Amino acid sequence: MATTHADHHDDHHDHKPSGFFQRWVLSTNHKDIGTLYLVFALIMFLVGGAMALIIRAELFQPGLQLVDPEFFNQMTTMHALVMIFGAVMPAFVGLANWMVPLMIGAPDMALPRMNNWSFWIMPFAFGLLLLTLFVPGGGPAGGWTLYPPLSLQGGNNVAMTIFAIHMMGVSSIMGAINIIATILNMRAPGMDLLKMPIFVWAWLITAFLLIAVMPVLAGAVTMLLTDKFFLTSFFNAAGGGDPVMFQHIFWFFGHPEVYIMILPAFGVVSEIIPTFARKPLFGYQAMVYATASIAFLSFIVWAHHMFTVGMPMGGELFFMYATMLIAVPTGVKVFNWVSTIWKGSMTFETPMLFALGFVVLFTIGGFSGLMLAIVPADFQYHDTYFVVAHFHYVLVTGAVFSIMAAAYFWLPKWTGHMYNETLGKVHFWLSAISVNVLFFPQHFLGLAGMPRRIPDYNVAFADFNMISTIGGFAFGFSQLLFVYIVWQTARGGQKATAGVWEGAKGLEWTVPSPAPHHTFSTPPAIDDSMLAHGNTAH
Amino acid sequence: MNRFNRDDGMKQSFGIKVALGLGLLLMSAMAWGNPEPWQLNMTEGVTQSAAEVHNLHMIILWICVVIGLIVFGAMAVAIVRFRKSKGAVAATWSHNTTAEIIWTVIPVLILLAVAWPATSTIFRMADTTESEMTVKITGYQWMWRYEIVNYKGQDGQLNFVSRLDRDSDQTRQRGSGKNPADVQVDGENVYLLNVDRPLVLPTDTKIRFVITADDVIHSWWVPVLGWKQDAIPGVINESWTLIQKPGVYRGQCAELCGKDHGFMPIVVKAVPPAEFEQWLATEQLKLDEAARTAQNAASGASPAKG
Amino acid sequence: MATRLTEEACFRAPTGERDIEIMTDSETIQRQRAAALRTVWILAAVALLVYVGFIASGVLAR
Repeated sequence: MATTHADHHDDHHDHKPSGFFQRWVLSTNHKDIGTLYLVFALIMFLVGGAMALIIRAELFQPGLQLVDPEFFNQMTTMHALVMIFGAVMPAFVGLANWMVPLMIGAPDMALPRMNNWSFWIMPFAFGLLLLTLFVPGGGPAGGWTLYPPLSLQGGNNVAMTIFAIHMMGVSSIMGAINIIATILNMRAPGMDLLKMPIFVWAWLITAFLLIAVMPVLAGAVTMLLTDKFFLTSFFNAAGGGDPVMFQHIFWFFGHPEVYIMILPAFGVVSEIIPTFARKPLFGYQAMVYATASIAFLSFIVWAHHMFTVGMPMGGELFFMYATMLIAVPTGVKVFNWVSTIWKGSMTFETPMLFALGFVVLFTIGGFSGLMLAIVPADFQYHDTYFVVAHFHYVLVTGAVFSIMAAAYFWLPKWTGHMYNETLGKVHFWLSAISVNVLFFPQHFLGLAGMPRRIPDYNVAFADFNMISTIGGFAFGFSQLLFVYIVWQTARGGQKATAGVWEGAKGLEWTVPSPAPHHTFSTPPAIDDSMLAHGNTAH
Repeated sequence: MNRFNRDDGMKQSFGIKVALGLGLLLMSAMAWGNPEPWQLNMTEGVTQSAAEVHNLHMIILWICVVIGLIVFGAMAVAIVRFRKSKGAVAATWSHNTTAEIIWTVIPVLILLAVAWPATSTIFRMADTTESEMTVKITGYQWMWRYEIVNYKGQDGQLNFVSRLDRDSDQTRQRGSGKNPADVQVDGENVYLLNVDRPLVLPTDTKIRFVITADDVIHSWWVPVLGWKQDAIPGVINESWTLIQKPGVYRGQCAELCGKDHGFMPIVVKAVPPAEFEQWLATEQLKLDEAARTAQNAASGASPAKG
Repeated sequence: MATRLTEEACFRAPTGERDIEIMTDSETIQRQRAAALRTVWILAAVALLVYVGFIASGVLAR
């Protein structure tokens, strides 16, 4: 009798809602919502990627062959908006949705209905944003940074873009609130804060950053809107306003925003490396404090995006020192990852390849970032391809690689199937090589004097542009392999065990693969030995 | 039953490639006037500011290279030695407070060492006092206006607009059929880096610039001078230069300003002071003549048109 | 007892409610959710404050 009851019970825990609409549109399940975010992010990644290929195709040779300058500017603007707000951020939110409740022994997010709204705003926001490409005047073309007065010279796209950004902001803020409320209140008894998986810590800190700065972006674009339509002059000098104030407000959002896009990546990599090195993460507490320091410091460095704007010397000095300082906790993290693999027992499955690739290539991006911090040197780097190289290293070989690493790492848990390891490795190597062919030459272009956001250039810049474009197309097409692998794994493959990976530790690895629709409906009893960081003595 | 125990090597060879590439970079520190094909490194420039900036760039680059070699080297060693397939058994230690302190303090010291020369360069570059000449630069969509406001105590009246040269402009049109490689001056390709009226400036003279814009934000940048400064409507930014070598120096707008952002270059023609004064006098004469002609035409035969 | 209620809730309630009903079945989780709702209001207030505050700063700066 008890057995039948239990079976029925398990059955029910895997009992998914019937009907597509019920299950997906009305979902209040963190796993399904996580899947929705991830699928959305993947689609947006391909859309943003296509825009990048248009850019690189035009830049293949000097001269204007394919697109007019106005459309080129729309592509650079939209590429960034789509990648940042449509691909990277939603992907990390998807990972959080899937894994945070599992990792802390919670049944779901604190507010499952709000979770649903957070997701479903996104397709509408991006529908609106992408629609701008088809209205008279075209899409926004003043850069994703939306500096006025240029951004206000747009036509219909101004209002549409601003509304789309407001919607994305609301989605992010609600999502962040949900994550904090979940982590602070819904942990299973025994899951102390300093025993939580480092991915959870990374997201807890990221969520605070989101709540602090997304409203700032909302304020900035609201002021743009009123300047355009309601006769205010926040940023219009003729009316007594200041275009530079926009830059201050935007980057006060913008700098923490880039950390929002990298802290979860740090969390992912800190989960994967110990697993495949079969050795605990080195310096868990130091990693937590370093993450928190980076988050705090991220609030006081924003003007390093504005060194050429004409700031008083005191300002330049302060922001230079503060920016250089951020290198320190970041360096600590890199040293700790290296110390984790030192005297480990490593195997190199696809997640580990992406994670190790991240450590090397993100560090290169970090180095160019440190160079950019030096104000007089920045006078030569600012608004050149050197900056483009820097942020693509940290965002593509950084954030995007970590998302792919996470996908390979957790796909077996999500789908119940192992992905094809050979194909995964092929995807890694194709990506890792082509991404460097794509972005490394851009350092040289910037140092040689090529500005950003130009559709055409002097013949001196031709060689590295051609190489970069070749890398770009190779990288772009390699991602189709990733799409195939994910799709194939969702449909079938070798059955995955609950533990999946030999070195995996944590509550998420105690539930079956695929994870049942409902998990931890009653809080699990936690034994410190189940946890990666259960031993507080270390 | 874990079948994922395969050998994979990678980071070692990658690290070596990075080191070699950067080595090439370090060796290629030449002073160029304008970009060269396959150029790897920043120009040393033609001013003291540019030289200091180049210096700082090399210092921080070297530091990054050395740290990179250490970190990537350690990773390469670890990846080769500590593999399960080679029978490595994982250690169990997972923290070391001394190590954390060491690799926090040492980077701070390194950064302090870099901050010191960077700070003094910032001070020097911010000092526009004791300049002998003032030039006003105004950014427009999509051209620059230059005004010699003041030269050695004398108010100037020279005021002109500098636009992308016709050859480049015709070539860059989509479907023009013209080849960018053919846009040349004295055997040097100047596609998109040439203008109809360059800004002529004297060498060995401290020149102060006041920079603004008329419509949207632009940025005035000539790499060999060693700096760029944003041109912002409603704001007047200040900068200065002292050009040590005569020559023709080319730059570009460095802030997205609309559809022709990539098509509003800058050309500075630096000449010895005597030659500059001659040029100034000639331009002034032309202006006076043009003003006289206009006056004559206005008060001449035809009645003024509505 | 808790198990049975959960089951019945599962088959009775419409989809969205099912997840939340399951959550509120356990006493521990019920208490946690109540505390979580308080956290949510505080954070929402912070977000609103930041939004209004930055626009106000833009106004005051003029």
